[in-house]
Order: sequence, then structure tokens, then C-alpha cells
Amino acid sequence: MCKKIILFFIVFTVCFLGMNIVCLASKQEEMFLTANNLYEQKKYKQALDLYKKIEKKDSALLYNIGNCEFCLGHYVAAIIAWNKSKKGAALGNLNDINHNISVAYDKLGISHEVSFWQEMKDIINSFFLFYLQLLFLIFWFLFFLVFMFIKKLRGLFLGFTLSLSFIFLSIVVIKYRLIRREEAIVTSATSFFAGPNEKYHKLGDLSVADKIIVQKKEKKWYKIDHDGVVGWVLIDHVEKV
Amino acid sequence: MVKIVGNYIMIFCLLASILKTQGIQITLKAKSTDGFKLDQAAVGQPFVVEVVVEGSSSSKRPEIKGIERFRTSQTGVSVQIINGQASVTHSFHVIASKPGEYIIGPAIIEDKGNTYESNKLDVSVSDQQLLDPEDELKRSENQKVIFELIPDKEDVFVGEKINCRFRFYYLKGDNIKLEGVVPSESKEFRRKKNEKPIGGTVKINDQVYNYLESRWIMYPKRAGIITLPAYQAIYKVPAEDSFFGGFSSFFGRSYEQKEIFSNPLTFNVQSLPPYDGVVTDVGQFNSFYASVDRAVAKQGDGIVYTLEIEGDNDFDTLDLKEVKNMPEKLKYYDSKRYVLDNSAKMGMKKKRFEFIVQAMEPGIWTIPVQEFTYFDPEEKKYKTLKTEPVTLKILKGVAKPFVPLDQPQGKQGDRGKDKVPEAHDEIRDIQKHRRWYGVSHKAIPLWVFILVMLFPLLPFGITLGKNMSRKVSERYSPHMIKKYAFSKAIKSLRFASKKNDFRAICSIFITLFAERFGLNEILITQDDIIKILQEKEFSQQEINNWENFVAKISSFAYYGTDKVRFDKNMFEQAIFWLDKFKEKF
Repeated sequence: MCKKIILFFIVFTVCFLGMNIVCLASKQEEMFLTANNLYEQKKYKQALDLYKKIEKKDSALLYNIGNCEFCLGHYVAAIIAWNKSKKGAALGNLNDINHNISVAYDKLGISHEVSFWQEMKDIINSFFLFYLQLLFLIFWFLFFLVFMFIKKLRGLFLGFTLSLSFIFLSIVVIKYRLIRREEAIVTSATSFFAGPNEKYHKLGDLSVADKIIVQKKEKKWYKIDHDGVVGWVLIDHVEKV
Repeated sequence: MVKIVGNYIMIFCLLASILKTQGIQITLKAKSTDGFKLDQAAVGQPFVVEVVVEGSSSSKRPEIKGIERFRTSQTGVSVQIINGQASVTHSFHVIASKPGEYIIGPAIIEDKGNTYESNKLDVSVSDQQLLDPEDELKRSENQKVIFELIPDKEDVFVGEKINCRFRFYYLKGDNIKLEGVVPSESKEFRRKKNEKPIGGTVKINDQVYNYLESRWIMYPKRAGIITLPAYQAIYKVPAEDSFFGGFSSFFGRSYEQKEIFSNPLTFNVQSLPPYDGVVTDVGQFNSFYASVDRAVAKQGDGIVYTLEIEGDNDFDTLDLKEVKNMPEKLKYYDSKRYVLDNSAKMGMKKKRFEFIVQAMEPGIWTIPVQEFTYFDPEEKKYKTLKTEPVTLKILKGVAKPFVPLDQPQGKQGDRGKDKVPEAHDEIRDIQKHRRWYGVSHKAIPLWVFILVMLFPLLPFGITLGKNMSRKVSERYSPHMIKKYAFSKAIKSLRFASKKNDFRAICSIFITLFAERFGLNEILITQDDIIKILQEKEFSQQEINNWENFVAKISSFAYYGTDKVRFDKNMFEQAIFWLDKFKEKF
């Protein structure tokens, strides 16, 4: 009897939680679809508000937020959203994102060219680390299996598996570096200083939409790298992407 | 019975009061707010005017002639009946705003068609309040609370910042509660909100007082002698004679509400010295800075031009409404104004004034130097802060109607609507079918990844380790030691020859014999070696030569070069003997 009661409670709890999750998910999906419709009707402000209400945002959602911001004339905010959307974006979508970013920079009157290295970085950034790790390990183990068990065309298989292992390992290493490298966009024109205070020497100016690398944070200041010059800038003027 | 007696008393009182109205007397009195006789009132300092109406229980407010020249507020009406005679007291707080000689009164009251008049009061109002010397002494001795206003300066310029504070002192140990402070009204000053009160302790006339202090800032609006009238503090003290006597503690402590007035503050406010030009503010300012959100823009695009001022003054009222000498081809519009409290240096604030600038034609345009002129009251002179000129590069583009950057779409009106399809068309469409919901992507932890990566290398490592250990163990087995004894001896000899270490030759041969024949290196003797040589069929001549050689290398080894001359061929001889032994052994 006791076992039956416990079983009932477990089943009830699981069902209850499951229903809640399903309800929450469907509510969020409803918001996403409504926001899409609002965007189609050119009600960008309402669409943006709805998109922002969705709690867990992935690439497509961030991309749509960028579109809304752009249509509202908030070009810097759009650039930030699109840059954020690069993480986890499908390869086919990277082109769209880069195109939109270029248009936004154009609107701001800033010349913006995407270098080959930047494109590669975007592609690597769009991959999930877990899958890269998994692919490397598969080919790495395959290499040893070939080494131990395959006699025919052994050299060919060994070369193939080792090359792929090396390629994936390189991508994994780059991905690790990219994860640690925090980029930010300047949201309002400001200066950066030699230390985390305005009393320090001014090292240079940052223009709106400039891309910088954040090295560390100290209270209200970020230590940044701007074109090789390392300095400090107030957090209020930049936003991480 | 009790009810009947009560009724009779009531009727008696009523009749007595009716009879007494026949002879109503009105008296007009003036005293200080703490109840002392008033000889002379002060500007801004309230005093009390009381109208005592005896012989009437009517609480109708009397009309007081001449009181309209003062700022007045009625503070209470009290009725007393003593021996059946009712007297009503009307109290007024009166504040004079200018010094001079005033006449208050008479107070007039109408009762049942008759008009009654009081005496008149001659009130002298000066800059300072005067009390009777005896009253002054009593006051200072009995003061349980003191309330004062303290300014940081009294001689100021119009618009200059004045830091003021009030302090409410009360004797330490007395259970006094400050209920509230009522600031006086004055249109002569622009006042900022009070800061939160702070507490402290101080000694005054050998008595320890606690105090509560609150600060505020104010700015005089006009020149002249201006008075800020006294503030009123309302506080509570424990009631001395409680209705319940000693049992009062059972019902909670009862309190009596009292009030006290502070001193007024008088300022000598000077007007600003003449100046040819526009003066924006009075105070102290550090910097004036101009910036744009981008220096390159397309024709018709909105550029945010920001003027930022850092200083110490009332930033709520400070405003810059125009950009001076703006080139004709640049249009500008007011945008946001905001104060940055924490970003400036200690005690300073920053205020930003944003303008949206729109270039109507392509080219290089310069927004000229902007000036901010202010009067510095510390140095009593005018100062001017200047920005740097800002240059804009305007690229050719389609001129668009102006749309403020941060303005929401709904507020843009028709102009905004023109712009929307254009923006929409320029960028790629939204994503409707790709994954939009966030999923947390966990990667394999780095240490696990490295461990798994190294896992296939484990068998190779084990095999390699085994081989190594086998080789090492073989290298040091007795058989291997014997086998490698000659090669080791040759290596050692070469090394010794290189270093010219002739002393080592003897030990090299001892080690060789010990390793080759399994003897103890420490216990081996010359006789053991000769015995071995004989066994290996060396001739007597060879053995004699060997003995001579050993004698030489031994003397080198044990006596050094000081006593024995070193034969340079000794290394060659050693190699000769090694070759010979290798051949025979």
C-alpha cells in the first residue's frame, strides 16, 4: 500500500512538472510566433518587447531582436544583437548576419570589412564545443584502431584519421581560445585610460560600434584591448557580445 | 440621585455663563514661542500673540487689526472655566518679515450684537530678538531642547549655493522624540530636498546633548537682505503628571507634544557684477566637453552631439538649449538631458546635453568651439570653459527626414513610417523556423577531454615502459656488467685522458678486474690480479711489466705529481694493457 502511494506521488509529480514545462515551452513558442507576426506587420517595438520577454534566447531569436533594433533605428543595439546571434548560428545564417551587420555599420557611416580570419572565427564560433570534442575523439580513436587492427591500406587510413584528428584538435584549441576571448561593442563614444579611473592617462578614444576585447573586469571598469592598445574603460560604455 | 445633582450643576453653569457674557473682557498679549515675555521681536523669528476673551465661551476667531502685516497662523484655541467663569484663549504664531515698529490690535469680537475691543500692542521688530535678561538666563538654564539653523556662509551672490543644516539638540538621557521639522516658507530661495538626518553628541554649557542634523542646499533668487524664517520642530516629551499616576506604566508611557522654533537665517545677497555676454550659471565647474557618437555619417543621418559639463551646482535647473554658431548645413534638435551623479570627481556632478545633428549636404563640417560662462563666487569673477571643435565627415547619401535614434517607433509619426520599409528591405528577413529557444550546451570538461585523448596512448606507453625497464635491468645484471666492463673501462680512460686525470687510471683497472671477474672492488689486491694474469697464461715478463706499470699508476694515484714525475705516455700504456687484457680475457 505504502509503495503504491509513493509510486502515485512520483507519477503525479513527474506529470505535474512535465505539464508545467510543456505549458511554459508552448507559452514561449506562442510569444515567438506572435512576435514574428508583429514584425511582419512592421510593429517592431511590440515585436522587440515580446522577443526580449522570452527567457532563453538562442541564435535565431537574437538575430530577430537585431532586426527589430535595426528597423527602429537603434543600429548599435542591432549590431550587438547580431554579434551575439553568431554563437550557435547555422552556417547558412552566418552570411545573413554578416550582411546585416555590414548594413548597420554602413548606416552608422563606419566602413566595415569582414576578413577571412573573421569569417573563419565566426564559423568556428558557430560550432558547439561538445560536437568538436566528440569529432576529434572519434577520429583519434579510429587512428589507433586502424593502427592496431587494419593491415590493408594501413598507411592511407592512418594518414586520413590522423589528419582529421589534427584538424579537429586545432579547431577545438581555437574554440577554447575564442570562448575565453570576450568581445564587446562600444555603445557610446568614450575614452579609455591607463588605469581603472579617469585620473589615469587617457590612452585613446573609442567610437560608437568599435569592437574591443575585454580582458578582465574590476568594479565598474573593463580592462580592454583596442587594436593592440590595452587600457581601461567604464562598463557603461560597452556591451559584451 | 447623582443624575439629578449633575443636571442641577449643568443648569447652574449655563446660567452663570449667560450672566457673565454681559461683561466680556478681551486682552491682547505677546510673548516668545517658549512662553517668555517679549520685549522685541526679530525678523523671521515667530512670536506668539494671544487673545484672551474672558466672560464668553464662544470660540469664534477674533479679528485683530494690524496683524495682516505679519505672516500669521492660528495655532490653537483653549477654553477654561474657573469658578463658573469661562475664558477662551486664541493663540497665533506671528512672523515679521521686515524690521520696524508695528501696532497690533485691537482685537475685536462680536457677541450677541455687541462689539468688544481689546488693548493694542506696540511691537518692535529688529534684526535680533531681545528677551528680558532674567528670562534669557532662565531659558539657558532650563533648555532641554535647542533647535538651530546653521548656514555655511551669510554673504552670498544671487544663485550661489548655500549649504544649510538644522540641528535639534536634546539633553542626553531625556526620552525626547523628534516628530518632525516644519520648514518655513520662503519664495526668496530655491531649496533642494533635505538629506537624511544624522545623529551625534555634543557638550553645550557643561551639559551633554544628543543631536539630530539634516542638511540641505539652497540658492538665493534675488539680491538684498533676505531672511529664511525660523523652522519649527515638533517633538514629544514624557508627560510628567499622568492621569493614572504611578499606574501609568501599565498603560504605556504617555507623551506630551511640544514645539520649538529655530533661529531665522539672514543672508546678505549680492547681485552679480556686470558682464558683457551670456552668463549660464553661478558656481564652480571643472570641465566642458563636446563629443559625437560618430565622426563619419551619411547625409541625412542623425548624429548625437553631446555637451558634458562637470561641476558643483544645481544641475536640475542648468540647461543648454542651443549649439552656438552651428554651420548652416547642419541642423540640430534637442534630445536628452541627464545628470551623472557618480561618474565625476568627489563632490562634483556631470550633466550631459544631447543634440541630434543632421547634415543636409556631404562634406567636412565643423561644429565650432562651444563656450560656457559662469560666475565663480569663490574667486568673485567670471570664467569661461571651452570645448574642442568637432569635425564631421558627411558622406553622400539619400537625404532622409530626421528620425531621432533612440525614439521608439510609435512616437516617430509619419516621418518614421516613411523610413520603416526602407530599413526593412535593406536587411535579411527574420528567422522563423530555426531554433530560437536557448539550450545550454555543455562541453566535455577540459581535464576529462585530455584524459580521454591520452587513453589510446596508454598501451603504447605501457609497452615502451616495459621495454625500457627490461633494458635497464639487463644493463645492470652481473652478466651484463661483465660484458660491458671493457667498454666502460675504455670510456672512462678516454674521459680521464681528455681531462688529463692520470690519478684515475689505477681505479679504472681495479674496477675492470672487479667487474670482469666478479670481485669486490674494495677488497681486490695486486696479488689477486697477478693470480688472474697467471691463470690467463700471461708470461712472467708480461707480469713483471704489468707490475711496473701498476707501481707507476699507483704512485700517481696516491702521491700525485709533486713527488712523482708524470709520464705522458701513461695513457697510451693503459690503452695497451686494456687491449691486451681484452684479447686474453
